Amino acid sequence: MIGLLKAFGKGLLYVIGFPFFLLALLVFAVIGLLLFIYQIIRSIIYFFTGQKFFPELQEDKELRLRKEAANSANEIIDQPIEEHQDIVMPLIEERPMVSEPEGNSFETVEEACFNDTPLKQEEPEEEEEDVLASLTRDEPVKQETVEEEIIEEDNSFEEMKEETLKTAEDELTIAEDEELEEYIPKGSSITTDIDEEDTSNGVDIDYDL
Amino acid sequence: MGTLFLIKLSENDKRIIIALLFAIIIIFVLIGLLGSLVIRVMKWQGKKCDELINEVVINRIVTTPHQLKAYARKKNSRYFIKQAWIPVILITVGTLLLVIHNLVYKSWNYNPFNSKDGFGTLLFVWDFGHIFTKPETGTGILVNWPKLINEPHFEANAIFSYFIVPCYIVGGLWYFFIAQGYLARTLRAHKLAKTVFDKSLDNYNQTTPIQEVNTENTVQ
Repeated sequence: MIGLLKAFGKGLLYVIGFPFFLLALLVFAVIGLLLFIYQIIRSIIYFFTGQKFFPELQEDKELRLRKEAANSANEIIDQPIEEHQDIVMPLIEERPMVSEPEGNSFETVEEACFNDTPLKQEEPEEEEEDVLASLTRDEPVKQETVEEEIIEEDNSFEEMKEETLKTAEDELTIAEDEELEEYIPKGSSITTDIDEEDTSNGVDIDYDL
Repeated sequence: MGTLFLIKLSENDKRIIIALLFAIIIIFVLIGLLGSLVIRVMKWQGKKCDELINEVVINRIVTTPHQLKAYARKKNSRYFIKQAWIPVILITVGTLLLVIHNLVYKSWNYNPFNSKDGFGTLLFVWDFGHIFTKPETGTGILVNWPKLINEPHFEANAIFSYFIVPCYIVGGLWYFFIAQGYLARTLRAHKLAKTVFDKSLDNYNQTTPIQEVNTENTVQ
């Protein structure tokens, strides 16, 4: 009953206020129509000047710039840490003992120059994989040991170099007194039976592989 | 002294008066319900203003009520134009057809709603002008049934009105609904300009203890 009376009271008020509401509605309808015509004329001008139908407002432009600045800041913060992370240096105690390479001295120049034992520098790829795996397994970094070994190898190579130079000098002094042996490189053979008359076809050299 | 008139109401008269009062009450109740519906729809239309100016207000790009009203007016106008272009085109098409009809038939007094060569040919039309008549003898009023003037039928001359009238009705109602939304958003912007920057201390009490920040819900 009270609800019905409330609705009756509202009805009375709305009957009194309806003409004013209708007037306001008509005013806004006319304003809207004028706005529409004004926007059409402006859009024709914008079309010929190459602008958009609704150009960006100053406030929207400021909002866009703030968002772009915030996004660029977030991108820097959100970058994965792995890209910046340097390889963790293990403790000195955890580093494995690197033994010096065996056979550090060479008897002859040929052995020093044509030694078949490969340098450890040729195995970095395998050791790099081990380094990556060791990072995940929290094991000591072998790359450091490789670098140490390389450094030690460099040092040992310099020592070897000095020694070989000494031996080379000694051999040269010996060679001056003695006849030089015929030098035959490894894995090659030279045919001595050469027919000097028939050299048109060249000299046959066989390589024993 | 003037003569006094004694108003005697019969039972029938009393019943008629009571019925009329009930009808008036029901009419006003219906008007009240209709008005409440219109107000509810306008509040719903006004919420769109919040969406249009939300980010700019939250990011504190507008910092005064004047700036908020100016920005809301621009956004409101643009949104109105985006909504209103279809009904405006419908009304324009209806007007063009009316002009073409007048040019073809060379008559500028054409009423597209009439029942002879207008949209009325498709509707039932009654004559309500002669409902109440006086009897030939005696006093009183005779109430007659309205006379049926037109039954729905197709008229070739009225073909223009079959397009003009729907364009006007649909376009007109649609446009007024959008204009109501424009009015609602304008009122909402004026209200927000007051509430967003309101420094009211109505619910503030300095003696209430400061609530501790819940660390569990904070973003780590």
